[in-house]
Amino acid sequence: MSQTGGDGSSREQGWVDEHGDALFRYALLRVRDRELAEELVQETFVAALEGESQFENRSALRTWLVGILKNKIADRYRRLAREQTVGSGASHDEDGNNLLEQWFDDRGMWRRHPGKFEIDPAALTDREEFWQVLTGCLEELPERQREAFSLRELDERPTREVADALAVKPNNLWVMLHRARARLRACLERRWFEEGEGSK
Amino acid sequence: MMRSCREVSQLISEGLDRRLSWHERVSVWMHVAMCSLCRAYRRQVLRLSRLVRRAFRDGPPPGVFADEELTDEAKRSIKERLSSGR
Repeated sequence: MSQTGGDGSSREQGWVDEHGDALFRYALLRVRDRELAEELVQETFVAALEGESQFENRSALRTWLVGILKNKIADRYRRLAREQTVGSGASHDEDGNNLLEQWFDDRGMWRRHPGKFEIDPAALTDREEFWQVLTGCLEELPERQREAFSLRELDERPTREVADALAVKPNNLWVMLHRARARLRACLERRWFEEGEGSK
Repeated sequence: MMRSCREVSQLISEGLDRRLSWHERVSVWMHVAMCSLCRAYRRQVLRLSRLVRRAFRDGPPPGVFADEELTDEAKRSIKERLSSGR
């Protein structure tokens, strides 16, 4: 994969050609702004070049680059959290229509079956339509829940880091994540397993 | 003390984000052994989490902004920045 040859710079150019678009798509998904996404991709390649000595075939180059990008994204959230004024409503997520409350009766038992669908990772991993539905479902989450879920499950940041990035206490974060997962699951049940390709 | 499905569903989610205490783990395990609805829920939540984490580990999964790419200008600019950095 690495190009031999006297001119070292052509190898990094190759990195950009081979991995730039994938990194850009991921950044775009996470920050929703082309300029910012481009910036993040550039920062990623610069950091990769600087930290190259730490990359010794421990993992695939793509995975390593994506890991750096995820760090950069988390850094940005942390910076934003620090810059926000105190008391900006960051202590809990907005969830006026709390799905979870509707699922359980007064005794805390399920009102209905959680859904008789099975998630088959092997069948879904490569399905473009599934991921389009999933990202659509992510869009439907309240913003803070979406941020929490994305940092935790897409970027795979540790809980402590996600809590800091969102300026909430860990136990608030756990509630946010529980709600996000609940909503996402319900959206998938509707849009994929009942109405979508997953129903066929 | 037996936990409710509501409490157990919360613990199932939290188990993905923190280490449950031994007591919590046992009460979830016992409840799930007797409650098929929570068993189904747990299966869905855990599989979804695993599926998502794995799929996004190496970048965007298929179908996500599939038509998007860096502009030639952006690529050029990044490459310039990389060579000037040396």
